[in-house]
Amino acid sequence: MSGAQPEGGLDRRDFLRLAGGLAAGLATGGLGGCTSPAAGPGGEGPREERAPRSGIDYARAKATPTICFGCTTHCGVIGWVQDERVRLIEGNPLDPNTQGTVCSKANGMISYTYDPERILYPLLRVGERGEGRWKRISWEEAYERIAARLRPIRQSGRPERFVFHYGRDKTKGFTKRFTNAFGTPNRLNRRSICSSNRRVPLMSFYGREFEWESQDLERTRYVLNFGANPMEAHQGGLYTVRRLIDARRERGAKLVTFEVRPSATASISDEFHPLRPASDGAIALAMARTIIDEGLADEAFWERWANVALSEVRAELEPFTPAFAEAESGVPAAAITRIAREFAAAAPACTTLSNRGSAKHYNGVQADRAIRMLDVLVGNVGRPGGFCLSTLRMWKERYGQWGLPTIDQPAPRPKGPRPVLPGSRRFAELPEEVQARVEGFPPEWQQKYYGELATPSEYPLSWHFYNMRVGQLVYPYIREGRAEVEAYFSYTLGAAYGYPEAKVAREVLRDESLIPFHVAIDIAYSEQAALADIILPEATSLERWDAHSTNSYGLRPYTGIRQPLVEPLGEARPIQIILRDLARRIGGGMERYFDFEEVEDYYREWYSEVPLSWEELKRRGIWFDPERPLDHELYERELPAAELEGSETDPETGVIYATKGGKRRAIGIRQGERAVRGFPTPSRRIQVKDEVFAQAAERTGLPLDDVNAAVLPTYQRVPEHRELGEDQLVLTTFKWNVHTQGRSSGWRYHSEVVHTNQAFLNPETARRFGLSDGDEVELSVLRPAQRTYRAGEQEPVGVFRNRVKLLEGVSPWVIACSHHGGHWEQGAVARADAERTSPGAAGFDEELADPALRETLWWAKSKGGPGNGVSLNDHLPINPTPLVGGQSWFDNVVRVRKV
Amino acid sequence: MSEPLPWERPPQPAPREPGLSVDLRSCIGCHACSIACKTEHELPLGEFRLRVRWLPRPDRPQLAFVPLFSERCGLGAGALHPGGVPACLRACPTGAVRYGERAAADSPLSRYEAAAGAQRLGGEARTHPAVTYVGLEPWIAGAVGKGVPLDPSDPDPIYEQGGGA
Repeated sequence: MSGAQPEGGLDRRDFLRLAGGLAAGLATGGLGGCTSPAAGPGGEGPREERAPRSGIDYARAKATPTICFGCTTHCGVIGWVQDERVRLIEGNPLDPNTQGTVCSKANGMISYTYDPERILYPLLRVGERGEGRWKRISWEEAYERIAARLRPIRQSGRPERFVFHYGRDKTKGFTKRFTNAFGTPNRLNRRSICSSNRRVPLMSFYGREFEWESQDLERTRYVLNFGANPMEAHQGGLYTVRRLIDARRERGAKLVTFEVRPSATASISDEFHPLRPASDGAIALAMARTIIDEGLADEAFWERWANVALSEVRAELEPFTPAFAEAESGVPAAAITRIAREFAAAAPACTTLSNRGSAKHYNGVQADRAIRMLDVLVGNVGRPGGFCLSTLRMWKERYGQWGLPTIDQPAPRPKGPRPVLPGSRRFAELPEEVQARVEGFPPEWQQKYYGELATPSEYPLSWHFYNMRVGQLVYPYIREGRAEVEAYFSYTLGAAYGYPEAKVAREVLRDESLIPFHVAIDIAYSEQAALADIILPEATSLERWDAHSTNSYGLRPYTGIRQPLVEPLGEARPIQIILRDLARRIGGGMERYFDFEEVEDYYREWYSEVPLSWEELKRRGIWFDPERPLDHELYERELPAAELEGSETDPETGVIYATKGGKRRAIGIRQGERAVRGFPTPSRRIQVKDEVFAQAAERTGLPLDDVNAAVLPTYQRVPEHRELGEDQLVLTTFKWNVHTQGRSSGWRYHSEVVHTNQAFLNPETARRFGLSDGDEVELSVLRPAQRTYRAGEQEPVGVFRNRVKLLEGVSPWVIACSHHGGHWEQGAVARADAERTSPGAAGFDEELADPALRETLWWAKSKGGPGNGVSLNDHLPINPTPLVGGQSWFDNVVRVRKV
Repeated sequence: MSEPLPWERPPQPAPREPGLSVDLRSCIGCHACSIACKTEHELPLGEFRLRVRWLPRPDRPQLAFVPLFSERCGLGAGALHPGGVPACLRACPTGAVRYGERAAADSPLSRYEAAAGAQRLGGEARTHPAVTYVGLEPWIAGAVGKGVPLDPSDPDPIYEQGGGA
């Protein structure tokens, strides 16, 4: 597709740009101007009849800024409130990350807040677990019942038997305050489901502080995208949408996408190359080889910042010719070579982009390392238009946060749990095999070991850099007795629907001998909550406070606050109040970390150092310093004299160390005469070569010739893809732009757009199987081949049926199906079935019922509609990547049979 | 208090004769516009004034995105809006939507449309007559040719499974 577009005669500055500017406001921001005051409020004349009356009267409604919770990106938004009801969510033009933009998912918050089947009262299970019979109870009773279970666990000195497992926790540490005060290390998450294969390469290369990068898309001229889909569902997606569109429209930047299906991003790309799944690494390595061999590398940059000689890398690249990459990927060698040249020619204003498409595979960690290496080769790292790293998370003097106010939770802060060290009583209780493994770890790893649920010893790289856990193994581990659980909290967690092999999660959650007590905290009924003993109704994101900070693509650190726009409905309560009240009832010292009455007071203290009054921060919703220099080349910033005082330099490596509080740590590196920050890695350089992969392999018994053990980026085909049978394809799942994980299916306007999930096939592939549009297929999903959970078992994980849709651009090796379909719990909208009520509010309060829903749910099967699609997560194998544990979501080999 | 923030300014009236133009080259098919429209007007399920269609391109293996406006869309006429522009425009993350007075040939919108070669979507697609498109390719009218899919049972070429009703 063409890049730059003709400008026409008009100034192209649009509404958002104007609204976001400091001088111009909304009053002058309307495109084409609002030139006709005569039309007046309400308007006159014949147009009045045609004009629909807005649900909002903007003269009366009030807008308040907050932070979106429609997905994990968390954009600054404003919400229009009229008559104590939130009516519309729009972008906050003051947000430097979104630049004022918003996506469809923001208005999902209105759907879930006013869902007639929202959970609004504490519920107690009556009858068998999972039977679906509930009784409304008071908060007092709920608290007492829960505290009565938790208190003895803590008192007995076995706090780790309390497991707090979350799906979507954006409290920036508030829930951790609770688990730390309790003393349990088992605050589990879903990082391995989502992004750990993506984070490890980044942290290995650039350091622990960088969980995510911030490409400088405002200045880039070339974007090389491996399997990211920012136009629909990228982490930080919306931050990149406008910048990518502007880069192409205003500067003619080129966007090249390697992807297995024509996603929205692939569709707006200047070049889209459908590839064999999991071959991204082969392409990236061939590009690296081309760049080196043709003298296109920025050798000065490499020499200065990479931790390995270019010649050593080149030797490793010998097998990865463009012809090899073509054989692996199906992308022509000539295209690979040409794109490598174009990418290097655009340097430093060029950048890679990647996400699950490249990373969620058996070889995905290495694929992302190969992709990251391209940026280092052309020297675009940290440069204008290049692969930049912006400071992130709450600010407390971490790398890159010099001169920023400290934004952190109020004191006192509880100490975390203690590691499970060899020689301790808890260590002696571990299975012998685990003990032997952990005993073989280096001492600094042992200091980070907290037992098998929090820090699975087979996956040391899931906790070496940062606590990412291996969420999909939690239920198998509990079933196998690797950890004993007495109480289990599900917080905004949809594992029973959305985890791979979700049926395993349900089996374990249903079994009271494995999970004796299960509390779900959520806003909506779900497959997960259906297996709880008590459900606590949480206030929604439109009704509560949260701190917010993330990496900024505007390259200036910023912060924002989520604030309540309306009071919680029914008896719903914010998570901060729920955990405060539980801590007080559990007692034993926990309560002193929750010493606040109003949640707002707690956040006011949290933000006390921001140079803006609390009232002004609430009014604007966002703070950043517009004068602060952009986060370019942070690694070249000189260390101030104060920091250099008392430091010592390793003469061999040039690394500068400082000792603070008895701890010696690297703070910078000598580059010639200058003492600069470098990167926050052990070598203060970019760690293109990282021994940690081989080290972790050795200590866990992974063969050193496994792709995951490589110290330099490498590629091997996914084991089970080596020889696909005639009747086999690779099943890829994906997200639609109106949906987000398993949580959006209940949003009525979003599910109205997409409520089913037919399977997409390339017409060529379809011909091979004798399939036409609308035909039904049976898919048998096979287990992975090696070195992962239940690898090699012959019995399929699951068998399911779906209808096919033929579409050009789907990779010929692939059958692609979105994973949003087929909910059997949640509300009527998600189930596409208004005939059955869930135990949400409407079940208890008739005023909240929405009888019209039954009449208007047009896609319900009872209305002759197509229904809500197919649930396929049950059928996908639990498949953690060796060492790191990220779920290899897109490796699934399926046998395809026409029904 | 400093000067008013964008959302604190008084709302502005819509133009007398509003027109709207969509630059299809910037549309990413995200549905932000259509869902903002439905949310703002609290429309029941099954009723659309604006719907975004995803169409397989005939010339290469990519999709094209076309927001279609129903004749029932009021283009914000007779209402007061922040900035004097309707919710669909404000929701568009790529700035693909333009809006303004079309009463005069020299209005900014009219001049933009003339310069950018904006066209109406003809054929059987009964879109709102005051909506134009920039970057409208000839095949599109035929591909959305069954008329604006305001009938919910109308199968979307990409999204809908089994053709709906």
